[in-house]
Amino acid sequence: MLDEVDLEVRSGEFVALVGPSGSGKSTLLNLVSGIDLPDGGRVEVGGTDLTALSERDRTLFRRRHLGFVFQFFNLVPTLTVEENLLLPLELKGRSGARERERVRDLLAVVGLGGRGDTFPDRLSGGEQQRVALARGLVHEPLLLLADEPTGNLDRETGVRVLDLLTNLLEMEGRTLLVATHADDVAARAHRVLRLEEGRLRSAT
Amino acid sequence: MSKLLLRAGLRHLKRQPAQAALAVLGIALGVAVILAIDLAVESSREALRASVAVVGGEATHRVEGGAGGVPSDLVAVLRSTSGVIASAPVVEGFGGASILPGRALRILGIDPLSEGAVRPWSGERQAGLSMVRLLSEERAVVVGSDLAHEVGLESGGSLLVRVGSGVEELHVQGVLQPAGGLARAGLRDLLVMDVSTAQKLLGRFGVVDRIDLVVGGEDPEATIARIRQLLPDGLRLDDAGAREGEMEAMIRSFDLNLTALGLLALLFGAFLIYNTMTFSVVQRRRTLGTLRAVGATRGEVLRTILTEAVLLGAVGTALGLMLGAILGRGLVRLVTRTIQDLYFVVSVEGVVLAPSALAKAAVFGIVVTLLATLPAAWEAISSPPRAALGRSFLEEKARGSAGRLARVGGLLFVAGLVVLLVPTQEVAPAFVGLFLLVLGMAAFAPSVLVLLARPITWAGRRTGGLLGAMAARGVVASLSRTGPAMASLVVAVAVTLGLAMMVSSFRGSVERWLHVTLSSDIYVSVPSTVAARPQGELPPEVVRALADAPRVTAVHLTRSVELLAPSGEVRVLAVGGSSDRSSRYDLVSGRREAADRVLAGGEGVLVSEPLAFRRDLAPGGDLVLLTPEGERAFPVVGVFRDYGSDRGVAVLPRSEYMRQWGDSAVTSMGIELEAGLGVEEGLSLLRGRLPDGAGVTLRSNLELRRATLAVFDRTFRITSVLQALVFLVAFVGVLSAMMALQLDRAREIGVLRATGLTPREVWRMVTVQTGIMGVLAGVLAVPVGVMMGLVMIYVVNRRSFGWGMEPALGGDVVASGVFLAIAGALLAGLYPSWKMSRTPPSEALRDE
Repeated sequence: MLDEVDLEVRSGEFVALVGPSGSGKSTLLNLVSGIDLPDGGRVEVGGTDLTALSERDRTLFRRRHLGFVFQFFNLVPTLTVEENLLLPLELKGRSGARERERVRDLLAVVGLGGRGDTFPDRLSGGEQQRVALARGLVHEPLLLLADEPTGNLDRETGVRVLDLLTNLLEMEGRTLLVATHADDVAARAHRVLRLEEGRLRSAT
Repeated sequence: MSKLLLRAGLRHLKRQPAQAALAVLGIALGVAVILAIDLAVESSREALRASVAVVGGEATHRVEGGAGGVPSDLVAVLRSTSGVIASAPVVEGFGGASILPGRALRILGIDPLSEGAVRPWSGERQAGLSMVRLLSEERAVVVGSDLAHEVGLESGGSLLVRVGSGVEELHVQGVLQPAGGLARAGLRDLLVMDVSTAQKLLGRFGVVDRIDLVVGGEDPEATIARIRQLLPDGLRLDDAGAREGEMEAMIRSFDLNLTALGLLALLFGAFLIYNTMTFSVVQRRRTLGTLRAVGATRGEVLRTILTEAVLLGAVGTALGLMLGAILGRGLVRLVTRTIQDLYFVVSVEGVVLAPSALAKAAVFGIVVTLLATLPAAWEAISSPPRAALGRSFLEEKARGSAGRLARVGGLLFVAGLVVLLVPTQEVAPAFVGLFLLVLGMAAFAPSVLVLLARPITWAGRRTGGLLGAMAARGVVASLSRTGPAMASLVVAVAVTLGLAMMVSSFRGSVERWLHVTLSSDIYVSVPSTVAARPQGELPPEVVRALADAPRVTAVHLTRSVELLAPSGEVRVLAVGGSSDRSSRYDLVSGRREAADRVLAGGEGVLVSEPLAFRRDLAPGGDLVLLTPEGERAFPVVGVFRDYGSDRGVAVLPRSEYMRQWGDSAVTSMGIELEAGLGVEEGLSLLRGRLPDGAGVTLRSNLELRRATLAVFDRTFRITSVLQALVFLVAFVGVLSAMMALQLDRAREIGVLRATGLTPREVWRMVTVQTGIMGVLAGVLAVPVGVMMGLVMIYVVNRRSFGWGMEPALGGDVVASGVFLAIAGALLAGLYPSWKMSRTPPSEALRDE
């Protein structure tokens, strides 16, 4: 799927991966997150070589240092909005009053201050993706991975979510690697990389 | 474990209340059946123990003499033997009271002066009255407080007791108020009287039934050896505990048969849990993928799923324990009645809620729940941490695993056959083998579905067009749901069919046996409250009067006694009459001429199948019995079919029995009437010949046959009840699978509805689908059921009771099995199909 990919993302950088369907964008994100392992080579995040870790250690690394945003939001339907945000913190072993406050603050930032007790199925697509953004960043990850974050939203909502994403990144000083088809997403990135038939080319 | 993960899991269950409720119901029913059987069996055993404890008391040994009894004067001899701490004579029998119809009362004749050390409950301090009062008056009796309370008896009152052909009025000298609960329970149906009163009542003049001994001293072994030397031939010294063990052993197979049915119910309960938990995981595959993506480890996901299961299991188990206690009360009556019909008198007051039984059922419930959840939990932790995992992937996996499952099924089947072929008389391996066979065959169900995919789809298209083809394809396409549901239905129907085949074969054999055995026109016996034990004697003047009656062409006399043998008691029928032939016996081995010679008074015995099976007897072997002159070997000349007792009987010529045991009494007689004389006419003719107040029962051949079949049907009533419960659990399982399917396919149905399918068409499609499953399950269940029936006939029944029988498989049994499968599947599909047809397309098409 991927062939001789050599990629380095600096801390605080916003990198967009573009390319046609089936070019390997999602595969690259899965490799970076440690969900999948490459046949050869190394994947290093924040100085940790993921390829040298066991499945369990990769999972623990993911819970501590990575955040995810998906095309179909993938909120846990049986947890409230606030609980969905608390989940990564609790998995990290942090579930005190300070964490609750951070969750509430973050919800206020994404414009869902009063919706903490709501279940995801009561929210619109845009609102759900805003919760997903907050969940991806709530535990202060080294790297946020996003797979088509606006792919399932109408244009106007997509723009709003994107504004929010870039603001949050700046505010929190996080690194973002996003796979997208959307030009407006790529346009905001510091660097755009193009994947074609498994090979990586720099677009900008 | 993360609280949020657990909360998410529990909320999922809460959002699918019907699924969760069905799983809870499944496990509750499984636990309830297990507990109810355990309670019923334990309660009857407890009653047996109480009765043995009260009647046997502290005795360490007993001297018995079989039918001839023990001479009364031996008591004094034994009492003066050094090392014998106490010796007490006992006369024991059964009677009935008109105020307690249908209930057998145990008559216990004791010597009040030598009792204290043997039966502590009879001591004044324990009993609340002095037993010496029994000596103060003739026909004096004391009763337990429970019995007195039940029939309103008090000291000074009287009780009419029927024993054999006579009725006696007994005078109540006191009411026993024993201190312990065990003694109270054991005294419930006991009439305690002086030995001499009991001897008169039971016609045991000069003899007692046994002498209870308390052997102690410095060297009990030497004392025992001394006693053995003192005993005349024909008497035996036994360990007192052996009797209880013998009685418990008698009902062991019966208990095991019930327990096997209970386990089957739990197996179906496990299927329900498996179904619910698998479905719950499958439904959450995207969520679980997300959780894994955000960093939940496999261990955390596993613990969440297992905790959910434990909670479901705990609720189900708690409900099951309550249900089981209620069900147990009903079952205990059926169990006691059957034990009384087949084995011995036992009186159960109520269900004993034994903590061990409750704990066992609770542990079963939770453990089975956890085991049933393991496949789902495995699936949950092996889900890749991705957001989307297509359903098609799951179905492909199911289709792939169908082949593997069939291979595992093949292995289970072979293992089952091997277990069944191991030569042993134990029943437990037979059930293990049977379970393996059935599970093995059920594991083929998904593969059969895959194999039949094309023909079913073709048939569906031919009969129902595109919708029919879709319905048919759906059965195979949703194999992860339909496979287990069908396997469960196959097993439930096969169990029903197998049991029905066994019972109908059994009944047919019993009818044939009755036809062969009951060849006389009229039967005469003493009214009995106890079906299992030969009892009473026909007064000699009655025997004479009836034998000499006009228009009687032949009489058959039977003396039914329990005789001692080196390895426990043997029931012996000493038969003789004017025209005894071996044609009255359905010989399964041995030569008819040899049997005829024995019945004409020659040397030898005929033994029934159960006796031959239990004591490993066959023509050419010997049956050793203890005669008053010592042990004697009787050559076995034939084995005959007999369903009268699962302990077995031996048939001796009456002349030989009278010569050896000196007993000329008659227990029952069969009378053949002159050709052309109607039975009713014959009955009134014979009744007219009876002396006044003879107190005997005359029954026509037909009446006796009906009464025997009534006992048979009563014995299998408990099987029917459990069978119905097993089917109910399986039905709930199919219902749950169909509901899972409905939720699974909501989107597909939504698309169909949006495309223009009417609710009615959706309903029809889903109903056709469940119908296909029913037909396939029914067809598959026939060979599985027949195989089960054969194993039950040739292995389980043989090892449990020693009975052989001709297998019979009626078309009606097969048809009702197939019908049951189809009806069960259609009924279980009714609600889900209705729900599916009502699904608003908009809701079904929503993505999240």
